[in-house]
Amino acid sequence: MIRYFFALSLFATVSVFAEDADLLSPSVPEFVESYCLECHDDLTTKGDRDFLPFLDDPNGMDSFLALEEILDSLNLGEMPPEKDGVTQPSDDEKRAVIREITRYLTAEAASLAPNETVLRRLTRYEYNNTMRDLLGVHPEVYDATTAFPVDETKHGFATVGETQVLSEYQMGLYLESARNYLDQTLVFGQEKPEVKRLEIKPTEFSSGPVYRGAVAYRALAEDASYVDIGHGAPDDRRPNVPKSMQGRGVSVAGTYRITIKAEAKGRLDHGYDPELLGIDLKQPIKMGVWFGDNYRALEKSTTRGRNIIEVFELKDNEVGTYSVEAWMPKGGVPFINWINGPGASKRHVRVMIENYHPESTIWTPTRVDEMREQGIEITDEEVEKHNASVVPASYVFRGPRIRLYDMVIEGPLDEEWPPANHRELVGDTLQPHKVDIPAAMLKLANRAYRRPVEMEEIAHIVKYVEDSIEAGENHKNAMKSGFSAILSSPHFLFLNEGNADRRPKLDDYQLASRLSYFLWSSMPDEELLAAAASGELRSQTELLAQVDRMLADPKADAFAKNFTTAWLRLDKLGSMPPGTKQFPTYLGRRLEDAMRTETKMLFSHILEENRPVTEFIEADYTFLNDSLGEHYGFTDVEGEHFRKVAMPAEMRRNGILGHASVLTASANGVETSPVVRGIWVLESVLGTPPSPPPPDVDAIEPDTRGTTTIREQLAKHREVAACNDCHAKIDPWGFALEIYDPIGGLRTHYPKDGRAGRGPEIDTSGELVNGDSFENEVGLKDMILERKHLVSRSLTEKLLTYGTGREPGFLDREEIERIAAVALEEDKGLHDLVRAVVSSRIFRSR
Amino acid sequence: MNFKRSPLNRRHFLRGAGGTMMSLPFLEAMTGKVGAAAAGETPVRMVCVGNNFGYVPDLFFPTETGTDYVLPGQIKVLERHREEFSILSQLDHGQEGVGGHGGVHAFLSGILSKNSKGFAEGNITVDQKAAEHVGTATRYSSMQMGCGTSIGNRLSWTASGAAIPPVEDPSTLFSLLFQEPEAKDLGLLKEAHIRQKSILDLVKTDADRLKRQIGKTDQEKLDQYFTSVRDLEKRLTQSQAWLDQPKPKVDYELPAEADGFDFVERLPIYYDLIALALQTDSTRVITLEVSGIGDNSGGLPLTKGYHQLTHHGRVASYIEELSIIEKVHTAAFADFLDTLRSVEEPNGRSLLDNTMTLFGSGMGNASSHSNKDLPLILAGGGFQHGQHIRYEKDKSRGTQTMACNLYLSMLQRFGMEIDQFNTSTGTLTGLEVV
Repeated sequence: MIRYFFALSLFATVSVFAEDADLLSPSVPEFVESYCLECHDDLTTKGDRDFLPFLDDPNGMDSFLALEEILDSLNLGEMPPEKDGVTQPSDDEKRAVIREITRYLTAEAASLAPNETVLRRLTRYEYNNTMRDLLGVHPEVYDATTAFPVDETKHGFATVGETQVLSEYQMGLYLESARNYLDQTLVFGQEKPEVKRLEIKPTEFSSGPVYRGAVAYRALAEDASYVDIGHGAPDDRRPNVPKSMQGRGVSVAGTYRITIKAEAKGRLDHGYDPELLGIDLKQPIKMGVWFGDNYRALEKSTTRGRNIIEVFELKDNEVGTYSVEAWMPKGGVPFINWINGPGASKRHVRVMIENYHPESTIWTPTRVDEMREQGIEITDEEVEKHNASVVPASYVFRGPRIRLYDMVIEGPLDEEWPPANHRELVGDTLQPHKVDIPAAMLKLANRAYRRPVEMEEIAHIVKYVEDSIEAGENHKNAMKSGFSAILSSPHFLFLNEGNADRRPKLDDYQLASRLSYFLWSSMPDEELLAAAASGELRSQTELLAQVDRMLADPKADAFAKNFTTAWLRLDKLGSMPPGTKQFPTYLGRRLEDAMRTETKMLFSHILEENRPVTEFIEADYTFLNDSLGEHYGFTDVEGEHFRKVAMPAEMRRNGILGHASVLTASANGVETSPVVRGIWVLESVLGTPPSPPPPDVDAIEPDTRGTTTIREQLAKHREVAACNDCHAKIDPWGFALEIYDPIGGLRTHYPKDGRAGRGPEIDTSGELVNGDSFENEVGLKDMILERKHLVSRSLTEKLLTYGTGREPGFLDREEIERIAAVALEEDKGLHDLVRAVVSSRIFRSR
Repeated sequence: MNFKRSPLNRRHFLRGAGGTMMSLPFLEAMTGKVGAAAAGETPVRMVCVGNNFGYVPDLFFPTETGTDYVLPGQIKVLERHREEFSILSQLDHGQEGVGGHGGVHAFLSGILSKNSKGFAEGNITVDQKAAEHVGTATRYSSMQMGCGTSIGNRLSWTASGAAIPPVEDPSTLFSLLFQEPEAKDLGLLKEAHIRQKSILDLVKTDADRLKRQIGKTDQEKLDQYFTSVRDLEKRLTQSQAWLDQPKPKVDYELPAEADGFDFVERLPIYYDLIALALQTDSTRVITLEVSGIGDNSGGLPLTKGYHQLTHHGRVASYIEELSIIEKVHTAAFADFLDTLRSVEEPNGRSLLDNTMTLFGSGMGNASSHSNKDLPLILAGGGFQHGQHIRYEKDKSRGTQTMACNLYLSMLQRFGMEIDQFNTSTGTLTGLEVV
């Protein structure tokens, strides 16, 4: 990663400065000539590398790339390959050359303008978290930025200013979302809403019994005392919305308490042939409580616009009362569903009725024809009589379902009026004309720009608000426009870190912002700003005290979540989601969320407990809930909640290389590829990305009609020498991970093409270029741990990339190596690493 | 194969009884605004349809070239339009468009978004280039529609390197095109426009101030901010001007449940809306992204997922099922060409003749994740059609024809006087305007 950035920046600017640096010692070209040229000259050109031009002009600017590649290969121990007939340099020779190349490149880089962070804007998640802290809104459940384009990333990092883009389209969305959030916060002219208690009876869900299987199964009891819900999925097409909520939803935003009386029926005692029923009933029946942004989100099969509030595990045959409080926007439509249900209820209800309940089986014309064909004599009158007396299916069906007795929605429960966030913005008054406009604008600007703001700086905004009021605009709208301007201003949207030419070091407020977006993905709080104001943040002790304080805050959850997403490329999760036919549990058991949670929790744990960074590779524990546990083959992890679970060796999942999140993100939703997973190991874990493929290589079309495995296909690929040079470095790292399927499930065999049954057995062994070999993923992890200095360096680099908004350059390498080495010292852990990163010159400079 | 089709006759407005043509009067042009239409000329239009998984190459590209070719399985349904389209093979974006699924979004630009910096107009797509040319002449300078879309595979990209998400719900599209806002909402909308423009003025002042504080490497980023503000101002001005213009009335009944229809039923609706949007000159440039078919197999008799099927590894049963989906794509497209042909326009030609319609994908062969040899069909637009043209591609001599040459030809046909579009090396040979 360092390589590319450095190389590009050099090519762009160099030549004038290059001659100022010391010259490369002749020992390097001599070394290259002795040990590399055999394969990398203009005749053999292995791996598309020809070092003759380098030897012609070792100090030339075209040589930087060659030197960096040579350095990487030596550091990795990949080159020269340990093969017969290849002359090996002594360890001393190697080390001397590594030292010299490093010295030379560092000196070269130092003579150039230092790397600096390019003006970066808030990412979408940073924007939302900042709005949450600034206005007290609820983007986590009600997100006004769903139409925002995906943030362009650099190697997974959305914070890198260099790659960020901004468009007219997004500018428009900034205006709209600012207005949207302000509308939620300000309650001018509104009286404190009355707390309403809405009692919802079963009749609001269904008006009668069910006669036959359909997509939805909502059956009212004969005495109307309950409704049975026998269908459901996370994204079901017919969610259960009370009638009084259809169309309009709740009339005012606020916190509501939803209380439901319900039980699970027919899960354990249905008495049907389980195979015929065909529903996985291992888990308790779970009831999801949700709200839709509006009613339209509930009209089709989707999870878009639907927000999950809570998931309750219902007790079997025991009525329970389940209560939850949640904030809902105006127009929010609460609903429930059987979240781990069987989807549509059509098939199984019909089959059960036909097989077990003749009294409820309607004799349709088709059926009558069939009966007559079978020789059963029935008259039309008998058919009519039967159908007239048929017992509704829902009176006899014993299959699994949710039995709901009633539902109460109470709210809004917010006690203070006007709400705290209204007061924070405009004071106690509910009358817009009583607001001190300049003071309110200045107060918001101070917080939104994350530094002290002079009145003069916002004078044009204040003037606009006052002028529009004078021109007849109402106070409320004029003020909202003024606030919107502050929240769409570049001072708010961008992290202004000043001009590096004038001052390479961040000032106190800039450092406070960098720190808070690093650890909270949000704006600094008052305490941090106070430390900046007093100048205390400049002291190492105070800075680290702030780090510790901030990491202990729940807001630091954003660090674990967003950093692991970028570092481990979990941004790719969900971009090519596994199909529901091939992997029904992925959606049906909400595995994607569970996977993210597992990885996030491991990170948080290692950070909180200051465990060594090598634990990412070898942790013998993880964090699971029932669904992810089942996915991994655990039988004793019960319930929705995540908890720490010991990972026995036979589960074959120690560390992040066994995390389904990573394994799903490094597959394509359909099949796995050792190449993709190998590249993932090299990039994310070891931080040594492979060279890009040579230009114009056509992809190979797989032919899986025979029983060839991907491994055999790749072996063929490697027979081509040009391919082999790179693939020999990539593929082995991925082979061991082939025991995990495209969503990270453990397997021993490949699937058979297009048919049921097992395909070829998976060979997990691999041999690295340097001759080291391993049998399976355990050996692979040993190989990685042997290179733990690379793991630590990679993690350090990524933390810095995430925190500073730029990828480190060569000039930063020395400091990175130093930090990475410290992190590996005995008794040192991830918490120490984060502290070291924050203390570094790199983090504290532009 | 039997698909359950919507019982509603959605097309009666266009076809009329017994297949006679019924054309709607053009929208009364806004005085001084609509150059071409106002002068009684009929504008040229552009439609680009893309899917994310390509088509099985053997079943898409004919073996023979020239006019005397046999239509392979996936496109057999287009036989009746034989003289109205061309199949263009061995065109792609060279190295620039390569990235497997991650290369698909370069379909209409020839440039990966991550490389957009190296190009004068970023990774602007052919439709957005055309939209620049339309400017404020129509209510929407372009429209993006999506029938089952995926966030990583956007079809339309702006010159600033940002993807434009498509509108997915037919009801929203219909409302954008043909439903008047209520008087009250219209008032609010107008006020909002005025307010937003004022806010843009205010933040420009802030940006000017910020400009003086930052270093030179930051200027480019701030320039993007300025550009975004200016472009948004333009859009608001355009939209403001159109707010007072009544929307065209069409005799088209959008099925009430259209948004929730399965893929198979929903796809033709987008094509209907495209035809109506063009016919009423609400816009002249439309992209349609057709990707996922939904979790329930889109209403098709399939045992596997769409993506899974595209990784067929040449297994016959996979290709059979995949063909069911790919034929739905081509069949809907063939019906769309019928619709376009049935509309007569003021210049005496059909809407099809006045609309260049590109149908294809940024994926060449999904089974190998190849972004080479893109499937491309160009229909209508007044070009000489009826042929399969295979462009020369010789790796050893490094010769290849860029798909951007096609886009350049399209843009010229659209009326733009340009001789370069992204990675083009010239116009596309063999493609004549009649």
